[in-house]
Amino acid sequence: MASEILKNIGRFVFLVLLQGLILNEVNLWQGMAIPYLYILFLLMLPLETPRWLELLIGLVLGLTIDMFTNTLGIHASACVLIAYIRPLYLKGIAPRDGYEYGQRPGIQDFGLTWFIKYAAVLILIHHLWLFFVEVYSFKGFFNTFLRVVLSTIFTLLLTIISQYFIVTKRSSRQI
Amino acid sequence: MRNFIQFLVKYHIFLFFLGLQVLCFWMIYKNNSFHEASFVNSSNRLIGTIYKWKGNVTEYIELQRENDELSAENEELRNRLKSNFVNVNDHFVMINDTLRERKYRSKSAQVVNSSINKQLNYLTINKGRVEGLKPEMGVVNKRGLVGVVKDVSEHFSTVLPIINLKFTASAELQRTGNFGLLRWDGRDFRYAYLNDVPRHADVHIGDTIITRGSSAIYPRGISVGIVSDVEAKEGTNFHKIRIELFNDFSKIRYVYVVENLLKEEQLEIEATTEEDGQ
Repeated sequence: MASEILKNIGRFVFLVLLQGLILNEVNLWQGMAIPYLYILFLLMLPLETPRWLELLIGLVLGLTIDMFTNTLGIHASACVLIAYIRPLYLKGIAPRDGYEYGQRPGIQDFGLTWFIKYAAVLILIHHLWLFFVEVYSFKGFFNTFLRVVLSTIFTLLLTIISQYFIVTKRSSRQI
Repeated sequence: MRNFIQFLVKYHIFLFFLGLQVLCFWMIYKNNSFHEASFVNSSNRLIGTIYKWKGNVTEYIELQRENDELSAENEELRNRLKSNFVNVNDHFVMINDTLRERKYRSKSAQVVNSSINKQLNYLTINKGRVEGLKPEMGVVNKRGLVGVVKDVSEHFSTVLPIINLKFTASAELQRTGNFGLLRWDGRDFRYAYLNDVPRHADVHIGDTIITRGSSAIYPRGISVGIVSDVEAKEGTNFHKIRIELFNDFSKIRYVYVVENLLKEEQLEIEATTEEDGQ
């Protein structure tokens, strides 16, 4: 349990720094696609996380990212939304026998198809919320929507790739 | 009462979620006037320091180009030194020049972080309150207008650049003097728009746009960009002018923060006039 918490804290710091120092500068097609890989942290939270705690974690993660981008509240809002929806959505896409204790929401435990279904929807909701709150209007709807779609694809690709890094690291895990 | 408690118990997670969302939107709304609470932005010490490390690393990559630009600027300034000029007529040397008063003072700063891919882009610079920076000071560089100081902490400040949806400034066409409002449309960091220039104004592609200096933030005549496209805005009497910015915001490293020493005075007299008008 304690090691699980430490692992999550480490992941938090790593993803926040990765996002704040490197990924925020990635700029494809004049800012049309930006990867927000940091929400991988929320996606990988243990299935047993209490819901109130998950909401708080979402708030803290979002505010931390907001500090890097000077957009106080915008990332926080999108993260809290994801933290609220994730448990509900997880229930909706549960395997027939439900989840087992200790399973992690990743490719290793549930397979690639399940993971894409899981990650794509949550990333899309996050990006939709984030980009539209950021521009604060439906003016230029199509332009913003295009940015959402392209960024979602970009983030999803990075999320899937990152899963394989984590899997190789965890192969030496002791149970 | 019991029903109400049951309601609270049943929906407590949803209510908690709503509460957090309200908090977030309150912060988004308040962010416009958060000058005091700069601890939450990248001008705070922790994030500022992290960005400084990053700046130290990336600085080396850009060093050559920056050196070239700085030495070119030095050369230009050296050519303006008083020692370059000789007195033509010795009889009329004025020692104490009371005809001029210093209005603007600049301070150099280095950009430690910037973004160009968001709708709300910001720069972080390595000078802060200790160096005398205050919110609402103008930021320029060799190429022209950069933006305006937003939040200030002890050693860092954030800058609201032209390429931020919240940025506005008064700018004019250098050739004709017609002025309008400079804004960014959130799409391409290389272009901005000049709105509210009347249709009868004579605008050509290639005209230079400069600041108007009306808001007491920037001096007049700081260059902004050149007109790259003009069309009539449908249903209005205004032009739609697209400006190609002189500044490449993906490469900004050194900037100057401009302090207007007579700002208080200008704002004061303007406020007095407005009060009288009511």
